[in-house]
Amino acid sequence: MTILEAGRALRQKKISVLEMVSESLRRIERENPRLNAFLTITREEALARAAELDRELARGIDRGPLHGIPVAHKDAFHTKGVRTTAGTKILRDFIPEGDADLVAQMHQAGAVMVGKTNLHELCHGITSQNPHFGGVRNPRDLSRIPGGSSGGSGAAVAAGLVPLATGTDTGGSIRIPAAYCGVAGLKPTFGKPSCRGVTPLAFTLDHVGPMAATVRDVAAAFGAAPPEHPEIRGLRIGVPGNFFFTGLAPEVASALRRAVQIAAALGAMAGEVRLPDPEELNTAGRLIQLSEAASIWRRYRERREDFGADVFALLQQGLLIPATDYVDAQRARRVLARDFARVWAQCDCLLTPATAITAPRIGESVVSIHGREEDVRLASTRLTRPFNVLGWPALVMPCGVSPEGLPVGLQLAAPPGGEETLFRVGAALEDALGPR
Amino acid sequence: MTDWAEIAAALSLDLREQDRATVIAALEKLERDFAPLRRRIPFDEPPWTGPEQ
Repeated sequence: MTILEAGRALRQKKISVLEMVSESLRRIERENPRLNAFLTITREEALARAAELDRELARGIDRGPLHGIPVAHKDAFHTKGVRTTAGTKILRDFIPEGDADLVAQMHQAGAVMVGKTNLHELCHGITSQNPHFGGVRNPRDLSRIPGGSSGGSGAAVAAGLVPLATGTDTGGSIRIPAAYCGVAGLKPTFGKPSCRGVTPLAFTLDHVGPMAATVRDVAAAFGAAPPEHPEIRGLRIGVPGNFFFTGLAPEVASALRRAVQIAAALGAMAGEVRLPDPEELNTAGRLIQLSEAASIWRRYRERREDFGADVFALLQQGLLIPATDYVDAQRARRVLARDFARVWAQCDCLLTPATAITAPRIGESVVSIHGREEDVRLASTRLTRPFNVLGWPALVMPCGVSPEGLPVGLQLAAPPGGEETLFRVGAALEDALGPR
Repeated sequence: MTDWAEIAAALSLDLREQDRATVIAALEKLERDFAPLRRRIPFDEPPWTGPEQ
């Protein structure tokens, strides 16, 4: 059941909050042994909160679209009195004294936390194969990764364990699991909502946002009005002629071509645009992320055995980068942001693939695309990271499946503050693409 | 090119043999990729502080 469907059922008194939350908990208990999407289940607190929210509704207090909706928070979000590990052994017993801003906002809006989701260690990777808490499996194919770092959140939504989850996104960590698991995920404009109370990875690249089954659900969770009859006639959708459509797996390329044709059939002006080289954004972004992450985690550098090998190698790289290189990367970022912003003279939003490939197999570190080998991490992040560096909002949604039945993700990006445009285009495409 | 092994030694960073090649290769690539971009930064360009709306 989606957030909007649940809300209707709740208000028509066809279901209670307690029934909805109990069903979510039942599913988690049944499916988590095979998915490992949850690190903590907050059963008792959730049931108590659900009963309280039912009493509120009976008294005529309606908190809005998230009233009574079960939510799973990525285990990087501080949750008052509930363990928050950030996927690291170092924080395995950390109990925060307060909630992260987004957790508090969702609680106020009536969402019911049912648990905390598994993730890539420190949010510093895309496989969600956590060496301390075990790997998350993709519900679409258990032999594959769910993507990451918000892999538990993506898997939990895709498997129907919860209608809503939160994620963090520093280089694609909401959008990659959304693409690989076949759900929708939003990386909002930088700074909105605030990252306060979220275990940081890279302060100037970190974003937080919702993941849900549909674009309209993501809009509702973001606090926007879900578009009822989205109209995109005349909207200028830019399809980058360079970079984003190069080196794609054939099933990704064909699903995206179809999505572009559908957008045009809906009356949008879908045309090619030229961008400056996004690979430069990726270079600056990697340099910044490595440096900032190393600055945050350097205090634990003597505890090598407490880190996974992949994460420790990234922290070591960051420790070696000179301060002048970091500052130069931030200066270059400003130059690039100015250059890239010119694209908004040509279009209202961009349409790109989310990832170059569909979900890789667990343990696969290299993939072959048209006979060319590419590191799985790069094939997963090269199309998402540019929007972290620019701070632009970007939405990922499913747009098809591969012959193997794996979801293909489409990415929409807009100018800062342009989330409403993303929801409008996303909802229109969702309707036209058919049932999920 | 920067001698990353020498910097690691100067910082007393415990760069073990099994990690050395991976870490250094990644930094060499980053340095190579970043060089042309760095050359384009205007002298008085300040750092990025957030997207302009």
